[in-house]
Amino acid sequence: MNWSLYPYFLFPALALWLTGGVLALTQSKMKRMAPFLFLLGTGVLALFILGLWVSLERPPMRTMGETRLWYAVYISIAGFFVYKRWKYSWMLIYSALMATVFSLLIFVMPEVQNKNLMPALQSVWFVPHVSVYIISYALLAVAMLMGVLGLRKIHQGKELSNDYLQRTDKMTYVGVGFLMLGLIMGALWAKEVWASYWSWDPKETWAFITCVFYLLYIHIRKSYPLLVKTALSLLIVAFLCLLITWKGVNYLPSAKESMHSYSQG
Amino acid sequence: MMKYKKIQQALMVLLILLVVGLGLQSFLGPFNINILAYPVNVLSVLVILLISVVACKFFPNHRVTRFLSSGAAALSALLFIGVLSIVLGLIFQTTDAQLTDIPARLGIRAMTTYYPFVVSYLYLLVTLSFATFKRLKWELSALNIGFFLNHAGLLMVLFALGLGSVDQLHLRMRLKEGEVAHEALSQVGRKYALPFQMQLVDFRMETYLPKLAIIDTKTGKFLPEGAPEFYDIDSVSKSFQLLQYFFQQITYIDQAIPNGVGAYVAKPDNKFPPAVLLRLNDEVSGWVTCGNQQVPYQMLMLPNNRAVVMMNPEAKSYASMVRVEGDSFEFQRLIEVNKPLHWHAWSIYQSSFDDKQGKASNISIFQVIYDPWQRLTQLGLAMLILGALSLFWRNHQKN
Repeated sequence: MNWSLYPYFLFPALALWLTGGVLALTQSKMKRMAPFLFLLGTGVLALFILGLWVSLERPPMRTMGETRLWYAVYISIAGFFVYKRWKYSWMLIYSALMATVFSLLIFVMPEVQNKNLMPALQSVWFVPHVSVYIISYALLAVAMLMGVLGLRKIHQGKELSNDYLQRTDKMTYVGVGFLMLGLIMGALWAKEVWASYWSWDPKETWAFITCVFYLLYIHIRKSYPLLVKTALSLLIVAFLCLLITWKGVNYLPSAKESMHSYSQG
Repeated sequence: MMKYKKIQQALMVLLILLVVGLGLQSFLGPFNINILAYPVNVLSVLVILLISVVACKFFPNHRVTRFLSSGAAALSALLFIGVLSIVLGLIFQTTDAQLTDIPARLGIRAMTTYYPFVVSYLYLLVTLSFATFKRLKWELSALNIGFFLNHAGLLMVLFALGLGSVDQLHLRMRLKEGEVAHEALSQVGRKYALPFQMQLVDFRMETYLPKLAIIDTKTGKFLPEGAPEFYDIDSVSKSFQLLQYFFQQITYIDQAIPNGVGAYVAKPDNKFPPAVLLRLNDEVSGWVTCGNQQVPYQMLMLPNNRAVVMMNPEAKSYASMVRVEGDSFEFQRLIEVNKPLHWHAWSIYQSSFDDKQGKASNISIFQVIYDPWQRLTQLGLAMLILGALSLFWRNHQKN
C-alpha cells in the first residue's frame, strides 16, 4: 500500500460519510442506513491506514499526512458515538465534514504526505487528544448557541421550558466530558514528552480556565437551578475562553514562550 | 432565599481569603514552596483529609461543615482560582529577577508563588475534600460513583501535582557512548547520587531529508523575508521550483565528502553531511551542502546576490540504548522521545544530543525525574477519565 492508491480509498470514504451525514438529517426511511454508511466510510479509510501500516512496517504516525488520516478516523468514530448515544442528528454531518476536510487536505496538498513531524509530536496521544477536543468544541459551540437563544427568550420576556434547559445541560455535560478527556490525554502526553503533567503553559492555563467556567455552569445548574441567566451567560463566557485556548492564546503576551507552538522554519 | 444567603457567605469568605493572601504576599514576599517539602506536604494532606472526615462524620450539621461542602463554597472556590488563572493566562510569566515592572512587583509574573493563588489552591482542596467526604455517606448509586470519581480524582491530582511537586527532582545527565553515570545534575549544578547506575550503550538518530532555501547573501536572510520558502529534497531526482527559479535536482547523496575537484562522492558514514547537485541553467549549476564539523558548507550562488543553501537535516527520531544496573537488578532498554524509561519513582527521558554533530553524535542528554507522588497522580487521572465517561453515562440515564 502506498499514497498513490489513496484516491481509491478516499473518494468512496467521502461518499459514504457525506451520504450518511445527509441521510441522518432527513426523515426518510433511509435514515436508518445513515450510521451504517457512515461507519463503512470510516472502515474504508481505516483499511488504507492498515495497509500503510503493514507496508511501512511501522505505525503510520510520523508525517503530517499520516496524522491527518488518524484525525479523520478518530473524529468520525467519536462523532458516530455521539450520534448513536444522544441522537444529535447534526453530529454525523458535522463529523463527516471535519473528517472530509482532514482527509481531503492530504489529497489536495500531497506535500503533507511526507511533511516532517517533529519527534515530540510522534505520540499515540497526539491524535486522540486533538480529536476529542474537536468533538467537544462542536458540542460546546451548540451549547453556547442554546445559551444565546435562551437569554434572548428571557430578554423578550418569554419563559424558558424545563425541557430546553435540560437539553442545554445535556449538550454541555457531553461536551465537558469530551473536553475533560482531551485535557487529561494532553496531561498524559505532556508527562511522556516534557516530563511533567502540567506546566502552566499559556495554552494549558487557558484550557484550565475554560474547564473552570464549565464547572461553574455545572455547579450553578446543580445547586442554584433558578439562576438561569447566570448559568446561560456562563456558557457564552466559557466558550469565549475555549476560543482563546484554541486560537487566541497565540496573540496573548503570556504566550511568548509557549511550548504549544510547533511552527518550524 | 436561604440558599442565596450561602452565596453571600461564600463571597464573603472569598473576600477574606483574598485579603489574607494579599497580606501574606506583602509581608512575606513570594510563597516558598520548599517549606512544603516532605514530610510537611504529607502531613498537610493528612490534616486536610482528617479534618474533613471528622467534620463530615461527627459534625455533619455544623455550620462550617455544611458551608465547606456546599455548592456555594464550590462555586466560590472555582471562581477564586478561575479569576486568578485568567491573570496568569494574560500576563507573561517569568522568574527573571531583572524585571521590575508593576506586575513583577505585585508578584503576578510568578503566579504559582503568588500567595492569593496559593490560598485559592488550598481553598479548592479543602472544599473538594469536604464535598467528597460529605457525599460518601450516601448510598452508592451510578450518580454517586460519577461524583466520587470526579471529585476524589481531582483531589488526588491536585494533592500530587500541587503539594507533591516540591518533592520532585528534575535532573540532567550527559553521557558519552560507553560511559557510566552514578549521579545526575540539578539545574543549578548540584550533584545527586542515583539509586542505580546507567551506561549509554548506543545513541542512534535518524534525520529527514534536508530542506533547501534561498538567501540574500548580503543580509544572510532567508527569502522571501519574513515568510521564507523551503523545498524538501526528494530522494528521487526531479525538477522543482523555489521562489521564481526552476531547478533540476541531478544527484542527491545522503552522506557525502568532497572529492577535491569541486564534486562530492558518497562515503557511507554518519559523520558526513548530505549534498545535492543542482542545475538552474547552462551557466548556473553546482553542489550544495549544509556541511558539518568534518565538511565545510557549500552554497550555490545565483545572480543578484542570492544563493541556494541547505538547512541542517531535522531529526526524525533519536534514541539511546542504555543499560541500567542496581544492587539486585540489571536491564537494557531503549529510551526515545515520547517513550521514557520508568523505574519505580524515577523516569528517564531522552532530552537532547550533541546538535553540532547531529547524526554523528555519540553524546546523549537525558532528563532524569524523581517523582514519589507519581502513582497518586496516575490514580487520580484514571479516576478523572472514568469520571468524564460517567458524564456520558449519566446523561444517557436521564433520557
